[in-house]
Amino acid sequence: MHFQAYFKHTITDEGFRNVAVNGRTTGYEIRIRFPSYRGSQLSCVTRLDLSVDGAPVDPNDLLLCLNGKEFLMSRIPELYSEYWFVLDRATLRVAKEGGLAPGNHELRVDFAYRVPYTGYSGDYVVAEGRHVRTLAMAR
Amino acid sequence: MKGSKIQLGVSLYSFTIDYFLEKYSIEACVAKAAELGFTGVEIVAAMMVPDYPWPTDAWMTYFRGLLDKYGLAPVTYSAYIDMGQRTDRDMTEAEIVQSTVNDLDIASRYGFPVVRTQHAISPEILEKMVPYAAKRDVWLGVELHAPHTIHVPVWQKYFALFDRLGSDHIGIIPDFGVFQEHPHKPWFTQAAELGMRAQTLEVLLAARKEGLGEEAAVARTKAPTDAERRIAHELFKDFKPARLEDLAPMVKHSKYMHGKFYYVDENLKENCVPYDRILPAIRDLGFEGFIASEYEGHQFDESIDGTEQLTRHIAMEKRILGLA
Repeated sequence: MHFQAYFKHTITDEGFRNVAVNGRTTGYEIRIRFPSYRGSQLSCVTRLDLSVDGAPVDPNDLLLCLNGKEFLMSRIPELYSEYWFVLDRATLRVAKEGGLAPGNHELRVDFAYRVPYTGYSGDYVVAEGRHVRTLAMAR
Repeated sequence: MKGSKIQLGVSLYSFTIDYFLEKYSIEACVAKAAELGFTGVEIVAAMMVPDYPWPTDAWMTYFRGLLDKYGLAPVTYSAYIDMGQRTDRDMTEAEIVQSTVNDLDIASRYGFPVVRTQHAISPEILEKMVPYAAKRDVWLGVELHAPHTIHVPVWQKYFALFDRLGSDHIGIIPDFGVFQEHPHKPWFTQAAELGMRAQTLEVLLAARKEGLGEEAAVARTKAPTDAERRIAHELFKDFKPARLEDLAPMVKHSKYMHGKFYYVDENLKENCVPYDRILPAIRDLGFEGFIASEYEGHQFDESIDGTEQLTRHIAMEKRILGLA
């Protein structure tokens, strides 16, 4: 049960908004914490899935934005030189024409990460958790 | 004077939940450490140092300034061996050496006499680090952490190395979690949250008290769920009777210890880690150095006030050691 306490803080209540390019709404984003007491190399993230109102977001429509850069989910396993400092929020940006409608939305993040120093008997601990949170999209 | 060679420090890791939720700034953590009566500080770099593993001079100077402002000694720069940081392979020896030299440099530059490293550095590489540590006048301590004990093969090799080379620049940082005998209050809270029913837990604990193993204990429970089976596995795997005779070789090769704890009650008792027996033994064995209070209940129950826990922990240490 080690490392479980932090998952319930993954989705923050800041920065849930639609994003626009050249006046056209092209998607939306949420801001998340790294759910641990310490930061981590991004490559340790083994699962980061977002569902909105019960529907899973296609990983190809999802970007993780951190350290001033934007990464497709498929690149995460190779990002051992990107460090996610524990006080920094990452932005999850979803490509979706028109964004999300105003009002409440149920957001669900399924998160898992390898704890890179835990190979006490060969295998690394993989901490897994889920955070579900309803946030309001402003008008 | 009894216990006069033991100094009471704190790992800022103890403030995790207030730091993580940004109720405490780094300065607030340092100020609290001083207010509670600790005299030395450990910083867990991967947690609190921005731009880790390559902190800026500006930030480290700022942090040292905070310690000076509140009259605290810099003691330990706590580093990791993140063996599994890459997806495709473990770290190589050259990479482990390079990252450890980096940590030793930072500790030396900013006045931390101790670097905490981890068992994955390996006895072979630790031996190669001795000249680096000596040149920088830093003591590189390997943390002995649960589920390891001094009896596992890798630790037998570490002790052979310490006996051969002496312990002026390398040694062991025992974490008192290795002496944890029972699950703690926050553990029970989290077990309930994760679906452990009271009646299942009662059966498991009674079976454990009788000396039954995991399988026999689980067989006694009624229709255990998957969650209950997982938690039962931890209950039987993680908590073993403390072997206090292990303290003698630890003290012989240690300049720094982690006073891990999960919950000190209002009567100043830690009911899972036997501090009442550990601390007098360490003192009588002649340990000289800091014991850093390391509160970890936050990993299980964040509603417990970590600052209050530290207040109780240092009071408990002083009571047991007969310190004013």
